Amino acid sequence: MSEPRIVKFEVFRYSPEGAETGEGKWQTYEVPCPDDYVVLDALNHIKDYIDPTLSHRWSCRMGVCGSCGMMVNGTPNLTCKSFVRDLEHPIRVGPLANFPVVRDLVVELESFMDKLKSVKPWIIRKVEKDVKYGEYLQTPDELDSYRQFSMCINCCLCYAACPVMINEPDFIGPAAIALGFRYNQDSRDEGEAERYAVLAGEHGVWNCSYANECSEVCPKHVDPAAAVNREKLVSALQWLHILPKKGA
Amino acid sequence: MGSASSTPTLASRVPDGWWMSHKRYRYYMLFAMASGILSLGSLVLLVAVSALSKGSQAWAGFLAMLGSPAGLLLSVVVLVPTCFFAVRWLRVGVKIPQVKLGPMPAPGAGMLYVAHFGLLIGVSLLVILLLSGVVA
Repeated sequence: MSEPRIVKFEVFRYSPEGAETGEGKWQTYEVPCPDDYVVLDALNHIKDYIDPTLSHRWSCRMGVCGSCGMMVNGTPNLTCKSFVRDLEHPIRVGPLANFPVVRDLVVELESFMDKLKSVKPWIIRKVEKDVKYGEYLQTPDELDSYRQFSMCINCCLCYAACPVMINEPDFIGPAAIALGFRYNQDSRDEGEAERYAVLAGEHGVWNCSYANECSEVCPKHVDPAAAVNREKLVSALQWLHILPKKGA
Repeated sequence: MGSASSTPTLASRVPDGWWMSHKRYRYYMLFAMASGILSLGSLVLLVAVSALSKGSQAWAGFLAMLGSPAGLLLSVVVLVPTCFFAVRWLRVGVKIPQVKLGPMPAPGAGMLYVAHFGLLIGVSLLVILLLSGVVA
């Protein structure tokens, strides 16, 4: 096994109190990185052995939980999937763009949670079927119409990549719209009419200028840009009364 | 939107020159700027309609303007970004109609690619043939 090489990291530091107040600053660390290190390993090394004051979020370490999204060399990435050996050095790690920073690499996700709730990402039925009548059946084709959009892990990389979010922070954004669209497409759901005002409203799909960045950075290949722009087509046809809204 | 948080935070800031910071952003901005040049083409069309309404002499003058070196240069300046805009739009736009609308099944990506680009090339060829007089 080869010796770990020393890699320079520039990490964003900010604290609401103490020495790092103000606009934040970039702090340099030198980390011994074995060949199989990902950026998250390096951050954990900094936290464990160099600077215990560093704050960052992480959990599963395998691209499932969506906690460790950060800007790596200016691009939104899951740090658990970003191999140090593949990146240009020094490696600059910052908090996700387009979100307020709580501390160091930790961003506040409250506004995202509100947006997510606003699209009602759950199955809505006008009348619930009693359990004794069995499950709601669905064909493979019906499942395929929304399946990819249900793979979202809410990592928010799409929000950090979206150029619209820079100027329109109230835009509901790619992940929330993709999830709303996912339920609209679900054959078991009858909540399309309830979601219409939010998805097609002032902060909804029509803010999107189709930069496609959200789909480029999605670590789960969800393609939120397709969901947003398909919802434009569907909601336009519904506005023209060519297509009915489920549950209206 | 959203509830007010009591957590003190550092506001997210727009990095200076963000749109030049990444290859994909630069490509997107080129796409957006191409639409501005496209509007020049619409302007030429408006001038054409105006000349047409003023009679044959004005129309002949308009055709002479289009055939002049400046007119040809303008056509090239409009054509290049138009092709770039159309190709980019059709490439990403092909994802949009892949949705089940009512009882209609969602069309496949391959079919839509062929339909989009086939229509673009077909209509362009037809216009060229009509204008060159090959097809009456």
